[in-house]
Amino acid sequence: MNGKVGLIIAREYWTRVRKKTFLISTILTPLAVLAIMVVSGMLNSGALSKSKTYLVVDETGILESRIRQSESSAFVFVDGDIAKARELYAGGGYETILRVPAMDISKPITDLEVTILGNERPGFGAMETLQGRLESAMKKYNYEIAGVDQDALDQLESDVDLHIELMQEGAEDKALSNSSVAIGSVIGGAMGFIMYIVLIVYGTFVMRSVMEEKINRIVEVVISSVKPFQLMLGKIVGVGLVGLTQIAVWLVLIGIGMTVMSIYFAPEQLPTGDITAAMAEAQDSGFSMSGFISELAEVNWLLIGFCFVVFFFGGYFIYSSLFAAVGSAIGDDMAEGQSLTFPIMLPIIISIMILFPALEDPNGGIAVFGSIFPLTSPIIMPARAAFDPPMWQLLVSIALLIASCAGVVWLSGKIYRAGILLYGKKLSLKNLWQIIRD
Amino acid sequence: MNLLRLDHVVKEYKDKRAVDAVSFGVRTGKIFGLLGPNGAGKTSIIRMITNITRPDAGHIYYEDEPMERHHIENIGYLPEERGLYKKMKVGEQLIYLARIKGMDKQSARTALQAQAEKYEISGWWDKKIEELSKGMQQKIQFIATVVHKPKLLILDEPFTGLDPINTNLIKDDIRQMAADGCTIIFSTHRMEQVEEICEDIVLISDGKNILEGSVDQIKQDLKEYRYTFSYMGEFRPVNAGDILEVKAAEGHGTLRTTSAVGPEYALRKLLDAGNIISGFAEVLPGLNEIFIRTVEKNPALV
Repeated sequence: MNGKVGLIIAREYWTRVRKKTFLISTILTPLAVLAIMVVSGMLNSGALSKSKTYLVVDETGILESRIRQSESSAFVFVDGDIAKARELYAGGGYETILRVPAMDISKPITDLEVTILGNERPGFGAMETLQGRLESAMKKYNYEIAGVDQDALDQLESDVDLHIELMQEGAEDKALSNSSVAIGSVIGGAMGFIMYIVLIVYGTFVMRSVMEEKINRIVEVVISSVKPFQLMLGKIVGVGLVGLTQIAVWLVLIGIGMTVMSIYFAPEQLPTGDITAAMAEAQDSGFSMSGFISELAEVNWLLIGFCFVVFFFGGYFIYSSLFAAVGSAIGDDMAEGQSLTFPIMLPIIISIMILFPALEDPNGGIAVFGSIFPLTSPIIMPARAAFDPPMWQLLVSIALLIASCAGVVWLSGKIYRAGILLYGKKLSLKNLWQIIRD
Repeated sequence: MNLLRLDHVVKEYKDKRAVDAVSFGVRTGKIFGLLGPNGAGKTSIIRMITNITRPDAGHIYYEDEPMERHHIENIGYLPEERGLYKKMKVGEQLIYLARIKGMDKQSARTALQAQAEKYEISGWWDKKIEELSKGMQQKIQFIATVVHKPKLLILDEPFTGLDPINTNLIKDDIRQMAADGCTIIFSTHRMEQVEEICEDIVLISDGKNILEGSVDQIKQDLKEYRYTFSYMGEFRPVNAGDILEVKAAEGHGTLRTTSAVGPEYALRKLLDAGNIISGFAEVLPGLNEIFIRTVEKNPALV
């Protein structure tokens, strides 16, 4: 008997894995992910935005020595009046002309009005850069006038680091810092999202597979050889293995791709000026690279991995068996299918909706409820895992998951057994109830 | 001996008793016709025999043992609503279907290749089902049903969609399998096919067994004592107490007697009247006629 389930799993697995669409989506998805990463990386590093040069007519004469110049935004100071600048601008090669009017520079300048002259409106990013550069240049000048020592001021600045210490039994040594919270959110969000995709995509695959057998009418031949429940189980496991294969291939391909990319886009090939500037800005916001790496190592990967595996299988079995039951009940009427799949989709969609509030407040009411309630826990609990949830919640959640998994699979098996032999009849809620009671 | 026996089997659906205390036996090695109008309950009965559904009451016995799940490896079932995996290749599909019937891979392959030769489909082994015509798919389906050499073969309308040549090929195969000891349940509406190949029948109407027995016996039981004859010259009228009706014209005639007398009585009366008889035969009712007559007579339907 078990051998027969094995045969069903094998058929389900191999016919899917050898399909062209599977090969294409398995290979193209990581390529798309890598392409997005390359493009966004290039955008961030400024490699795609051309460097801009601005003409400056500075009638105060205080900017030239104080404004920060960079490869992406350079400032050329015009030796002369605005007419000269217009002449230069007409010659081409400049973004705009910045005109700083003459004013009293003997005391700190708190209000500065700069006119931007050009043939086109500068973009939002360019305006931001201009404002930032001008403001910091003015700040420097104001410090000088007011007699404030910039270095002394820098030394007085204080770095505040928030460290979280849990007072639970045995958790005292687990210190959490801001960046580990950030890491937790990213990992949790990613986990939740992967689960969401898996549940919907592979749940739908199971549903389609059930419908295909029913519409093809082969199901009666098959269930005269194996039990309907064995067929359903074999189908769910087979499709699940296809999903695991796809995820594994994706991880390997993305891993290879990122290694290749990191060699190809080695840091020294990036414009160094921007990197140091970016580092400087990042340092200001209290972020340190070495800290980030050590935090990454401190994340409880074992717990996250364990949660992911348990909730992956639990969630997948719950939802795919529900999808199988729906597939058996609808036959070839797709419109009816839509209305029946909606109640199954709903808790998945709700899970995604509460995923982000749960990440923001991982020990709040929504997060705790969402990670224990078995229809949402497959998405919310792996997401919470990065925040070291209390052990009792984890255990209760797993116990509920296993219990409802068994219950839902059993119930779906009953609906499936009746549904696959039902042709031309709608499976109403009333006879659904009858089937369950039988 | 009965290979299969149904004992007061009942199947109920929400608002309907689809199978109402049906009992019959299927003799080992015989071709058995399971007949009945649409919606009579034939498919419900077959699904219980193939263990797809369970009876709500009554029992099914296989070789005098209560029917259990493991018995189904001895059954080959060709449902009326049939189909194959469209995207799978012929060979893979046949091996898969043979293996879920309990065959191992190697013997399935060997047996299937022999069948493929016989049905001249070896060239299709690597083709996908969707590339084949409907008739070709029917052949594949038949092969899938019989490859594990079942002891009990259940065929629900097996000839729909087949051309006369392939119909004969499969008919011969069915007869050969019966001769080799396989018991066959054949469900159809096509009475001429039943007449041609079935030895025993049961007629189901509105969920009830309304007629059963061997085809020959049923015909004898339901005959109306009709005869046809041919004569030469002028027809001379016959008058006798047990002769109910005589019609004759242009050398041919029909005659009906009471059930008290046999063919020899009818023939003697024709001769005694001075007729020159060149041919005489008893008319037995066709299954088609029996089918219609019995079903219409059955008050449950009205």
